Amino acid sequence: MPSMQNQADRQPLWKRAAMAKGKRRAPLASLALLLGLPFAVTPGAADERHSASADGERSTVLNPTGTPPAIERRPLAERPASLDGKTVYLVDVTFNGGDLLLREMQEWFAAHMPGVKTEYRAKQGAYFADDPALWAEIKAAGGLMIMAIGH
Amino acid sequence: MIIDALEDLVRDKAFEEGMPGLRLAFTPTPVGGKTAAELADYIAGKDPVTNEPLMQEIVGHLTRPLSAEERRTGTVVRERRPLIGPDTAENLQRYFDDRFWSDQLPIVMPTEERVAEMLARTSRPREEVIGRMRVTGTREAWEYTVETVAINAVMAGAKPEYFPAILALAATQTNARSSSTSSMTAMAVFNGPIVDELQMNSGTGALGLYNNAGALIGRAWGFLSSNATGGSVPGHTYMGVQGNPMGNVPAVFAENVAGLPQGWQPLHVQKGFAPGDSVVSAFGGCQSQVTMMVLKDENWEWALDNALAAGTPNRTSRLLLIDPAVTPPFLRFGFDTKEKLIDWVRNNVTVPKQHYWVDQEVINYKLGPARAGREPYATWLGLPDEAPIPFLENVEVVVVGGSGNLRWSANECGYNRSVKVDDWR
Repeated sequence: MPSMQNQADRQPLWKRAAMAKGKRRAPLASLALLLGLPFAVTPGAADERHSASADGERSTVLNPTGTPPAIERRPLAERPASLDGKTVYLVDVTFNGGDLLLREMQEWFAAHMPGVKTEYRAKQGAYFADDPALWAEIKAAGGLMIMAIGH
Repeated sequence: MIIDALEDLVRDKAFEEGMPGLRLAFTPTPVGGKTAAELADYIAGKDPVTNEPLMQEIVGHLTRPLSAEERRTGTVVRERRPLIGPDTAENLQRYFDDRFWSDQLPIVMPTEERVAEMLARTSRPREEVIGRMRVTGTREAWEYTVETVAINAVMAGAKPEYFPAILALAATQTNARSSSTSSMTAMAVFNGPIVDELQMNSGTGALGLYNNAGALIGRAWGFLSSNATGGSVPGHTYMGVQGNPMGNVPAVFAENVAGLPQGWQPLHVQKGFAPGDSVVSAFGGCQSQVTMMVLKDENWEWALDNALAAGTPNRTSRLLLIDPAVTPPFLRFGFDTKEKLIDWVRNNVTVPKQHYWVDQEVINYKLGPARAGREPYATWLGLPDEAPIPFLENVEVVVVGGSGNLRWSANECGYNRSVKVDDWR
């Protein structure tokens, strides 16, 4: 049976993280995370699935991958108990029809949740560019945000 | 909210940004090109990933209290295991193939002995960080060292004497395996004494796999580009919709300096290096190549414009690959330097405004900046429909080819950076 570690480094990043959760349950690692200290999520180990044949010469080789940066965990924004009386910003990143999709969502809110105010905004700059003025506007309004990344 | 085809990509990105539990909702794929009625059905329908009613799910995402996991802070350090094995060559090959660390073709196993032999060709310490690469501009930057480059060079089958050239190419920090959905790739051009030293090709078949140094330096560059960022995994860290046959082994060749007409400088001299310097110049964003025959006096302006305006006008780069045999007409048209030809292309290759702003890639990448007032896009947005938009910015000319016919070509490659090879010996 392949170990969890062996399976993990064949997976995309987010699945590797989910699979590494088992390791993070170790008390010291969890404590380190809570305290903001570094801990290791170790990728890959010997691959038992492809165990050596009896007559094959075995060798050890070097890992060709680069080194990923450390990641700083960020908490999500606090949520209100209800959307009644709140303003939801529908933010379009201007990619492949996201504007049309959000216009339909705006109509859905008007029909199904009339107590919710919606504001459509096209984010400034290209889809990957920051838009601090818009984030400040949403924060000042005590608003919430749904970002649509069309494609 | 994002299309379901990009679930893994967006979860990877959320993980990299320190929010692995970012609350996501998905629509069917695609959104682009759908009518308002079809999109209304998306909104009224179910999230294809969770099978939950989409809007109820989104409202829940906005109101459900945060879990302890979602409040978590701290630093996540991902360690890499330096050694793989011991195992048989066959199993190790499969191990590398499964992780997309190879190109699915047989590799030379990077044993410590072989890597040491490669490292002996440079005075740089093995742990020295050469640079960082991202699979795209919006993803995290992974770091790679002299040793990382040596390991990938061994895997490619490169000769140790190629190593300083491979290190210099690595130092350009140009990713030849970009994860752009447009399937872009890269090329590299060598100039100076290194060309003769490594017997690189600038003639017939220069861009193909007909030269040992070019082929193996290119393969090493491809491996490094994949592996410096953890491996090019289709759907995750390689998103090219169709892939690009030019990227399997990125083209690495020499400029044909013997074929340069009088007044045309070698590429590295254009970039500020001395004629006697050995230099590699890297180009990225390569997608497709248009090949033409010699330009005629009767309609060269139309033909040049027609050839170079092909494709989406969002692509602002062109690399003109001109065979020595077709340089005389360029001189006759007044281009007695490369720079004059480059200026002509920048100013005269255009697309009408009415077509420019309809192009979906232009909308995706340029409309936002235009609305934010960034020039020249803001001005272009206000032009009359028929106004010509000179959209090319990054234009270079390289002389290459064996003159077996009156042919030349152009690619959408954009110049990135030049690095001296001798600095990496």
